[in-house]
Amino acid sequence: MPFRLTLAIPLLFFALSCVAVIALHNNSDQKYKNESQHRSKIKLKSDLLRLRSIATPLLQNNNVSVVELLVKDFADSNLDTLIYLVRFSGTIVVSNQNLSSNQTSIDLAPIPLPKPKKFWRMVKRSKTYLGEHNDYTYAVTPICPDDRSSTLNRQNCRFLYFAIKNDKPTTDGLPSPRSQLFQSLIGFALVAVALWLVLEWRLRYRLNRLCASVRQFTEGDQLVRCEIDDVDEIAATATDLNSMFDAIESNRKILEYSRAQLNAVFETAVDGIITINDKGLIQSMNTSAETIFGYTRENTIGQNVSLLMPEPYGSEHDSYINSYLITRKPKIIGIGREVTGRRKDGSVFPLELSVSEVNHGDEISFTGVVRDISRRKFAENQLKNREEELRLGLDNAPIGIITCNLDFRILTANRACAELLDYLELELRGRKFSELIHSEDLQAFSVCAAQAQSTPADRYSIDQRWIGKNGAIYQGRLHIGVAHSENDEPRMFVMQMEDSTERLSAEKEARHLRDRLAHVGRVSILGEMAAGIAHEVNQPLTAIASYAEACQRLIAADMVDSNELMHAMQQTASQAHRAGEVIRRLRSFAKQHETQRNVVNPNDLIKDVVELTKIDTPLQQTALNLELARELPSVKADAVQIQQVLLNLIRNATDAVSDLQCTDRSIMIRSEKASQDLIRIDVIDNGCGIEDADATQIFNPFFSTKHSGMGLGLSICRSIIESHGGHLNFETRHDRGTKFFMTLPIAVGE
Amino acid sequence: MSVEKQTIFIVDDDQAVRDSLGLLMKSVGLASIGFSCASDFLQSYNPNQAGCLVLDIRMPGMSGLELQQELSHRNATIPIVFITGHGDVPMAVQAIRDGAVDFIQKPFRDQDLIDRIHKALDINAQAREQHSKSGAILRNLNTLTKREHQIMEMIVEGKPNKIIASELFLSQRTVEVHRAKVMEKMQADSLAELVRMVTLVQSQ
Repeated sequence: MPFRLTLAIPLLFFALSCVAVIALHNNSDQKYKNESQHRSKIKLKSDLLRLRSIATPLLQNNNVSVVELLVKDFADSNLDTLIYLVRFSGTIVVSNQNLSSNQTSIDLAPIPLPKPKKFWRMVKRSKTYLGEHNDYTYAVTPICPDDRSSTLNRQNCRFLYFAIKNDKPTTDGLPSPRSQLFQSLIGFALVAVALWLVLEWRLRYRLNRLCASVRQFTEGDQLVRCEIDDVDEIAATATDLNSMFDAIESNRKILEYSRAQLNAVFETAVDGIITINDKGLIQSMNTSAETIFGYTRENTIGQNVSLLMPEPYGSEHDSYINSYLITRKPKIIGIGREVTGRRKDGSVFPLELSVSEVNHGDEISFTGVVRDISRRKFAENQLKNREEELRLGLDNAPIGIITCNLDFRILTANRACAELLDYLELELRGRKFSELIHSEDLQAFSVCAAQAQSTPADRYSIDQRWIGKNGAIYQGRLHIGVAHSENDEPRMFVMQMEDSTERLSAEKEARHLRDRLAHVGRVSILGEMAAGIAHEVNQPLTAIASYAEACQRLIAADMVDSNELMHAMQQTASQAHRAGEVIRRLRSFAKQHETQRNVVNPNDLIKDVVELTKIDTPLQQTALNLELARELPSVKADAVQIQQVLLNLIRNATDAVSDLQCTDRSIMIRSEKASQDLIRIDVIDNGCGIEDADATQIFNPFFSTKHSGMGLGLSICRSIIESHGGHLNFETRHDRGTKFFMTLPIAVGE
Repeated sequence: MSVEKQTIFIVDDDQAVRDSLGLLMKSVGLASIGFSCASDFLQSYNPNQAGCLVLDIRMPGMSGLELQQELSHRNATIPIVFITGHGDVPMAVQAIRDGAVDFIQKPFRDQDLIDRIHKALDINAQAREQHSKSGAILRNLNTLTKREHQIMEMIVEGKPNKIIASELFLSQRTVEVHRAKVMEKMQADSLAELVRMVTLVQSQ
């Protein structure tokens, strides 16, 4: 039987019984009530009629007061019935109630009843009227003289009211329905309880059997299972219990297996494992722990774990535990740290200890895992020493050493590096190395770095510019090495920065001076050429002026020939351009400029110089012969400076031939490819040649065979050519002429 | 003054200058011929031609000054106006000393050049006129006898007849006859004219 029915059935039974009984009771109660009212009314009526039959004859004689007395007497002797004698007007004449002076009307009586006027119709029939008003059942009858004449005197009529309260039934012998109700209810309750007890007993019996099975199981009988005797909740519980027993059984097997496993792990673990209780006493210890400390577990279990520690830790260990148990603030539990241990032989060694807390009910124990790290410590120390040496070496290295990850983010930078770039060492850390490289050198750097990464065996070096903290530019050489990880993957860059800023700035200074000297040389040439320049500029200006003025005159004289005018105008324009061209050429020659090495063709340079020499008047009397090699490779050179050298040599040649007759003078300029990587330009004259005494000094500064001139020309020429990586020299034969020749390296890629 | 045709010879190595000067000459109604170098000019030069020379000092080959000297060697009397591209004072001084009319620095105002050319042309015309005058005087002189020539020189020296007669041991009457003969032959109307003729011839 389902469990819920055990209680529900008695309750339902009881409830149904209650409903039935109450329904029955209600029915009988109504009957009882009606019956009692009916009886009251009959009694009242009979009382009334009896009183009236007495009183009426009295009234016949208009003896009202006797009637009143009679009624009064009757009323006083029947106090449980309310009795009023009322006049037609409603005034109460007699009452067995204690009326106050203002309650003399029937309306105001303690139990107000319908007024006599209502009953006037009855008077003539001498009827008795029965009714109910509020809780009262009343009877009214008129008492009038027995005179059926129409002239009935209302003054002599009286109305007699009898009233009884309904809850005061004047019953006897009629059994009370309420007591019947109680009796039957109690009976049913008893039956219900009995029913419940029976069902309860059965339930208890079955539950007890379940409990017995469980008890048996927990006592170790793994085979016992609950009996399933029904299909209700208890049976379901039994099924569940059975599956739980099964689960427990399989779990127990697993647990046994894992315990065996754990034990194996515990015993074979490389690290020592020691468990202690909250008093610090050793509870277990594995083989590794025995090996590490040199104790056997027989003589340590039960001992305080401080045995395994050197002083002062040994004596303070108990207080450590206590402090933890009180504050619960772990200092080592779950954290692990390096501590020192003591072996049986008393030697102290570093060990790594990690502790975990095991809470088992109220019992607290701690499991410590210890690892002898004395070897590792030793290795670490050695490593640290090595690192210290390396760091010192790095810090004091005279060249900048920098390590970067593969994204070129700086990992470390040494002092020299920081000093080189005006940074602090810390400021450099984390920056991108590429940010420190001059933007023009970035491309070369990334190419070189990529190469270094892909072919690790080589060392790569490139010249670079770096940008210091304050924006200064430093020049130097960068050596790139790549460190590799175990599996030969590139791991980081190790780069050395060699500062050559000072050397380069000295070179730059020298170059600057040479440029300036070259410029001075050019300006001085131009000074010497002043007459020629004036002539060369004035020539077109003269033509322009003349054309213009001639035109004016022609127009004024009305001699206009349009063809002539057109020709004059064209000539004017072209002469103006000619003057401009002369000035431009001179300007570009005279301009002071930073050395600019461009790839130029030597033949073009020579042709330009020939144009320039036309400005120089003395040259106009000497023919220049050109013998230029075809398809001459280009050189990387400062065009203006090379032109300066050529102009200088040509002017010297012109001076040399000036003593000859115009027709005998000869200057030849020849260009050729001298070797695989050199071109050569000769300037050959047939002049007087150079005296032997002068030949040795000719390239010395301030040496000159001329009256005017500073003697700087050739020395400047030689320094220009040498700064281009070439040579300038000469061969001479007395009275047969001189050959100056210069070489220039061919530009890369030509 | 004769009205023979005068030509401006322009010698300049710069074609544009030459051309523009030619146009300028044309604009003032002067005939001109351009030469690009001195030797070209020398080849075509006729000493009897009237005109003047506009000459650039600096030229390739023979320079302006060299041409001037060459003309001087040839006794050519053509006046020279030098034009120069720059103020080369020693050259200019040399040119003037050697008889150049003037020199003018490029670039110049057209009027300046034209003025100088006109001046040169005047000089040329005068020279040519004088040249033709002195030729006539010389011809007259050649008609004089030795004695007449001797007496004429003394007259020109301003000596009176009486002195001449005593110096030459002649009679005054003889001197007077010779004198009359000289005046007739030289076509001189007065002593003053005779003196001018003689000095003109002697100056050349």
